[in-house]
Amino acid sequence: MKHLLHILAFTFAAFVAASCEYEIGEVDESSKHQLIINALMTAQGQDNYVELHLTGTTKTTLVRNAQVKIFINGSLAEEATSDTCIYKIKSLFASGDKVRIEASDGQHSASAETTVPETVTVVSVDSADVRFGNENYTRYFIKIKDPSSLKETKYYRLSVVREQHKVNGAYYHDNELYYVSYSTDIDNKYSYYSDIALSEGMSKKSKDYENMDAIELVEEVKNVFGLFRSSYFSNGEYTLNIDLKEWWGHDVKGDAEDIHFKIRSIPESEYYYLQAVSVFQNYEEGVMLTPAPIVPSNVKGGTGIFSVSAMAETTISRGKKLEIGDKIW
Amino acid sequence: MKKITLTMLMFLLSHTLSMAQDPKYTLVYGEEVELKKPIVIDPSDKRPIKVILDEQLKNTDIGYKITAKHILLFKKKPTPATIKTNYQFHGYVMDSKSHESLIGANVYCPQLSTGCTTNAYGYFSLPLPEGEYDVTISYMGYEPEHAKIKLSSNTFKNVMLNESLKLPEVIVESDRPDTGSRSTRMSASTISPQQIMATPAVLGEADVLKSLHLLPGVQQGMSGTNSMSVRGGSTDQNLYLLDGVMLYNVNHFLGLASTFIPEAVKHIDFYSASFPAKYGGRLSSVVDVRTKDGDMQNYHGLFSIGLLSAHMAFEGPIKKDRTSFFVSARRSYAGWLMNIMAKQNDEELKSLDLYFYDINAKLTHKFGNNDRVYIGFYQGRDGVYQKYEWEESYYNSSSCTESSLKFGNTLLNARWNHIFSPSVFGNIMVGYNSYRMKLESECYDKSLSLGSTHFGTDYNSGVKDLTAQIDLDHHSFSNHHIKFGGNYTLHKFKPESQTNVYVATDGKKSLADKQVTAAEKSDGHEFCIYIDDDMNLGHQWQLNAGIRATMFAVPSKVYPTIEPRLSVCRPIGGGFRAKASYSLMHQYAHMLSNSPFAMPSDLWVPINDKIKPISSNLWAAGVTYDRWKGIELQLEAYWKEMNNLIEYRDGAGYYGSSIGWADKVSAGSGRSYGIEFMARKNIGRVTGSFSYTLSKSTRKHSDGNVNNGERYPFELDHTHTINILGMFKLSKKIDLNASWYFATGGYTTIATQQTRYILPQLNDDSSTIFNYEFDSYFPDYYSRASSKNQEYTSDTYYYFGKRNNYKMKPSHRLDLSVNFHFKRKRGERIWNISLMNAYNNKNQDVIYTELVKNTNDENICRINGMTLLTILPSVSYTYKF
Repeated sequence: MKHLLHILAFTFAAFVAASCEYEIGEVDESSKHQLIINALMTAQGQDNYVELHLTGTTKTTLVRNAQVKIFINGSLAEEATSDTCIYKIKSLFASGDKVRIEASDGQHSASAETTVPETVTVVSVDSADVRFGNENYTRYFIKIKDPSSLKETKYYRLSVVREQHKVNGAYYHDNELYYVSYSTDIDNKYSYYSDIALSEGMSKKSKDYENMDAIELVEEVKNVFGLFRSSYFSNGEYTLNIDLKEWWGHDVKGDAEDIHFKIRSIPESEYYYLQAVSVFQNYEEGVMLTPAPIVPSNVKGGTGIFSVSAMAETTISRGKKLEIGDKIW
Repeated sequence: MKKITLTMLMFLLSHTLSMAQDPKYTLVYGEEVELKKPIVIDPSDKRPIKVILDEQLKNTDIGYKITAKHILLFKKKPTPATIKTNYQFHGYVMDSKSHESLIGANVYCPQLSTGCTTNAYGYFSLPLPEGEYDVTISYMGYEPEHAKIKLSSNTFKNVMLNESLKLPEVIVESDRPDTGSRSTRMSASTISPQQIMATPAVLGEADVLKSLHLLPGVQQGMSGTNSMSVRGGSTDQNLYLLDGVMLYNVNHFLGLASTFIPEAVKHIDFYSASFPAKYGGRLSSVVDVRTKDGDMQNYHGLFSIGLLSAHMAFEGPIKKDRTSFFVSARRSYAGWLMNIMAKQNDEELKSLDLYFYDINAKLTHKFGNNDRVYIGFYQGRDGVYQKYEWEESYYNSSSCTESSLKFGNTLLNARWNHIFSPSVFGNIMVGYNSYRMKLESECYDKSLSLGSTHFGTDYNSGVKDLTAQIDLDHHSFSNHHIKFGGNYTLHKFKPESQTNVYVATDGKKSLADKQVTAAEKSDGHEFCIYIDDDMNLGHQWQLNAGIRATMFAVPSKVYPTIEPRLSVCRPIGGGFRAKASYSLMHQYAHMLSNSPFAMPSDLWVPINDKIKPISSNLWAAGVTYDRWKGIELQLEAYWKEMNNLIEYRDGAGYYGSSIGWADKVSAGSGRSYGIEFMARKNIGRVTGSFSYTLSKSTRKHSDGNVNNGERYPFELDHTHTINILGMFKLSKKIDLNASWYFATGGYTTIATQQTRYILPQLNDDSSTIFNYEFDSYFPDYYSRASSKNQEYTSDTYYYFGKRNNYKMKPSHRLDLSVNFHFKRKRGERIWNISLMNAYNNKNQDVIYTELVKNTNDENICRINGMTLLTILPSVSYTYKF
């Protein structure tokens, strides 16, 4: 029994007798299919793409060989097609661009429009070691600046990519490295519980608070996509505050880690889209208390999300990779 | 009055004259008609008889009516406009035994066809010209009092009414100027404590709010809860007043019971249109609950025990006829029952306490005829408490978690009633109300090998109001009853604050940290003045015109509003009265909620510079009929337009605090309209009501942030609703009560299709967005998902599409209760046996869809339903002394 409110809810159900569940019927199969446009693109990204599908009662369907048109500030910038449902987009975008997509498979068509936000500036990155229980963490303080947030609420997404390079094999001859091979693991995890913006005002100082029963008033929805907004900024600046669990490889010679902090300025539509998607797990667990997660869509004539973000990235490297010729001593 | 006139006609003396012009007429008149000169008709006069009679009876107080064979002469009723107001007959109407003031009692002078009713404090003031009058004072459930008064000056009189031992024979409800069918107002009702106690309720827990569910235009929320929508309004648009002080939270146990202890309630007025100008701050309804003052003569009380809670009430004089007290309390014992029912080894459940309680107390003192002081206190709390300890031998550690959640209201008010002059009655009040939710949690881990940790959190939210108010009733003019006054309320909103403490030590060094986060506190200053005049315009036209001017100031902005209120009423013959009304209402605080239940996490937030006050324009028109003895009929139609309605925008409100809440909401508009019919029988062995509502309620958010800007149905939009309440007095010892509810389905949101969602990488691998495995059917996704550098994946999940896209099936329910009364010398015992949902209908309370395999191993999207309130018997015992 994790949460006091659930206790209340279950007691309520117990007191209004044994609530009962039953089947009512099936969803009507004849409901109209809609074209799904999904694209979370990056302004200067090289790997941008659009996915197209059709909705269905029990499954979705790939949409191949459709026509996708990209307009930038009203001008046609690109047309794409594909024999898979992935449509590569080569256009590059700049902050302030109005980007429009039109997609059609002949039977279904849909469109969406978005404006590319301003990019934030990463002012500084500091770190400190912290320890919770038996775990060691590094707390990173990432100071960002976005003057455009002074005018209106702006929306962001933080992702962390930890490239952890482990020495697979190293051969030395005469105390000198003549061969080395590495394997690289990717880790996207970070703990945001000590950050007020990432926890939407519900910061808990440490991820360890998770272990405490009943600390949340309602079933906690995790901010698994690292969404935050400028409501917590001061003078257009904010210092993000996240904890990364210490990687054991830091103690091994030759192992090294590149930590990429990616801060995307995202359109409002992407922010609310991902926030709604975040609640799916909670919806599954508690249908009665959690409202149906209606995922907002900015696609007209269909559904999905079309968004172009502007990304600022900074990288911290820890440890030093071995290089040919390094001395063993 | 018409009944009395007809009665008099039964005793008419008749007199016959031979008339030359048309001998077929017989002239008939009663003894009250004094012909100062004979009626002379010249045979040569060829003018119509009507013209001749008009001429002969000119400047007399005699009227006539021509039928086929008779000319009926009668004494004209003086019109109110002709009454010269000289003196005030005024005082209080009280129960003869307890001296409890009676609200809404009728004071009526048949000779002048004029009257008034007692106000919310039992005071009346009737302007009459000098002379002798018979005055009748009546109140439902009491023997009417007939008093002879000789007015040669302002006369004060306390009228004592005796409780009727017989079934009530006098119809008084229809005469009430505020809520009766003959009043100017419409969509107004008075609920008596008897009706509250008679309405069958969950677990036999008589409930004030559930008795309101039987009224037309009131839509019930989730089965068994108090949640209600009035004429398409949201649940936060109802103004709940306890002795004039606003309550923010009126629910216990997610809405299973209301905060009003039924034994403490004296009187309830309910308005859903033609709102008196003294009320404001909410759009859709006013529930004005008045509590008992306490018996000024004798001590008595009651004790009651049921499945959900135990109640007590005690009242009596501190100084006879001067000072009285009333105390009532209630506490649930859900936690104890759960502890008893818990399995032997279920330590977690055994460590749980779950409760709610209410305490009402009131002190009343009379300083004389002109001054009374009331001091009232209320506190209600819901609480959940759990302390759970365990040990782990492997780590040689012991742990403990201790959590408590408490929420509820504390209310304090002091009122001074003063009769400034016989025609001016004043009520001056200061009130304080605090709604607070507090969550405290602590967790300790002590280990010999690992050291110790201590986490603590303290979460608070709430709102506090401090109110000063003056209300004045002015009765100098017989054609005008003027009410005016003003108030100032300081609202202190404290949406959320959280303090976290963390202390860890491993034996050598320790780390201590404290963090405080808080949403913006906000103060709202609400100033209001109002005036309201109930007028007789002559020719049977009645008008109530009021205006309310409010200024609501928040730190960054001031919102001034003017709210006109207008109601008009006129008899249209045959016992029918036509009514129409218009009200403009504003609301300055919103409840942020994302649940169908009344949750403690629901937050009240004030308007700000971005979010404007909600407003509504409500037009209503209808007819009433009360010619049948003891039966009132009313038919009303209404149209309501609401603006700046706040809803969480799609995708928002699922997590986080209320910081920057204005970003998460969308302001939209609402429209509701409908027709309502109600029939009520107030006297006889069988009493009750029947109501039917045909309505439609929708919402639209043109900014596109909710339902893509398309209009959608409100979740409690039930097209047809029927409520029937029957109260059968089978004998002196047994009464049977039954209520039946029927409503066509409301709306909910379900998944209607499957769609594809694109997802960035998760920052927490313990989370799963979807409940099933990644779809590896498509090679594209499989390869991309395998790639460690892939920024995005996508997967299939339910598509919820449009808001409130599923109309639930009609629901209906029969609730029964039987009361057995056993009177003894020292008191009365009452056994109540209740049966909710007597025929166990599976009403749809929760709907959801699920992707499953059918018998042919094909995927289908199945719709499932859940019924919360199945058949539920209960018993309670009450002892009154």
